[in-house]
Amino acid sequence: MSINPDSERWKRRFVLCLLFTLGALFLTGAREANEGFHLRPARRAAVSRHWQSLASSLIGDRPVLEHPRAAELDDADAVWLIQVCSRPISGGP
Amino acid sequence: MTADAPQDGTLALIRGRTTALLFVFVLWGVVVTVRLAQCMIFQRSRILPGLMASAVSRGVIPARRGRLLDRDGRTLAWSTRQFFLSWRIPAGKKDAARAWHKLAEWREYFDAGWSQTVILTRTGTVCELARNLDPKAVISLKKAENTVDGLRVRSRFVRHRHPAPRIRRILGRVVVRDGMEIGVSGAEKDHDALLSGVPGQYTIMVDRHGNWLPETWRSLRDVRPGYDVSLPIRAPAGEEGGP
Repeated sequence: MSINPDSERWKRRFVLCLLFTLGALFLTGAREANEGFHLRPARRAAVSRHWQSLASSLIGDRPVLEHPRAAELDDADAVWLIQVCSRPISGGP
Repeated sequence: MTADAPQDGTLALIRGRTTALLFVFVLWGVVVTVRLAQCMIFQRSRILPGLMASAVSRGVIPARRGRLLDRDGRTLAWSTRQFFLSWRIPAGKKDAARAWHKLAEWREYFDAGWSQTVILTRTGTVCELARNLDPKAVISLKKAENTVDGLRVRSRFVRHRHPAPRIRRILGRVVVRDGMEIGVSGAEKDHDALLSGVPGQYTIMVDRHGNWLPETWRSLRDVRPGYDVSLPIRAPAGEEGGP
């Protein structure tokens, strides 16, 4: 192949390559993006409910916070309570 | 040949540079591929366990032990979770005093009797600053654990038994091993399989400081509390057991 500069021809090739790459990215990424935008919050909410339920069951019937509106644990607190109630058996630095 | 067309020398130069650039890219690709193959195929068995061991923590959530009841349904033995705060006091007196000063914000949760004077007489040892914390205090102490070295908020089960000596002999005793209560005598031992429950299991990724990365939580087995067991005995009237 000659590399003799034919700028119009190279421009067309570049645009074609760019379109092909963008198309491939769009097609392969669409599913993942959809999952990220739509499924992940639902999954995260399910995990969050699991943590809160587990933390609540671990601490029993003892009230966590005094204010009735603050009765629900946030994720960080729930995870912390689970961490306190658990025992690592392997791994970690 | 037009005036704009490159000369042979220029073309040769462009070809040479292009070839050199291509050679660099190919060489880079070969090096990356070889290194990847080395890590993922040939040294996988050596690298992966170490990587997983340091990045993934596996643990258990001990199950609450079931209750022992009398024939009328009154509780004779029961377990409660107790949150406590332990601290490995630094060996040096200066370090201990400095760390004690950092704990000022959380001293309201400590049991009575702890002061800087007492702490300085126990340098280098592990002490329990608070026993029987409520969950609200546990949440408040999260920051303290990250602020002061050696400070740990943990939990354990405490087994309570009916006060009557005759009943206590029948109930027997439990010992705690790895956070689980195990019956070693009496009814606690006889019905241990039913009472002990099933501990939960999980894996989670941790950062280099050992902090959990909550998004990576995976529950391998749900925790199941132990069953309650009714004994064919009757507790003495007027002496109340547990909840």
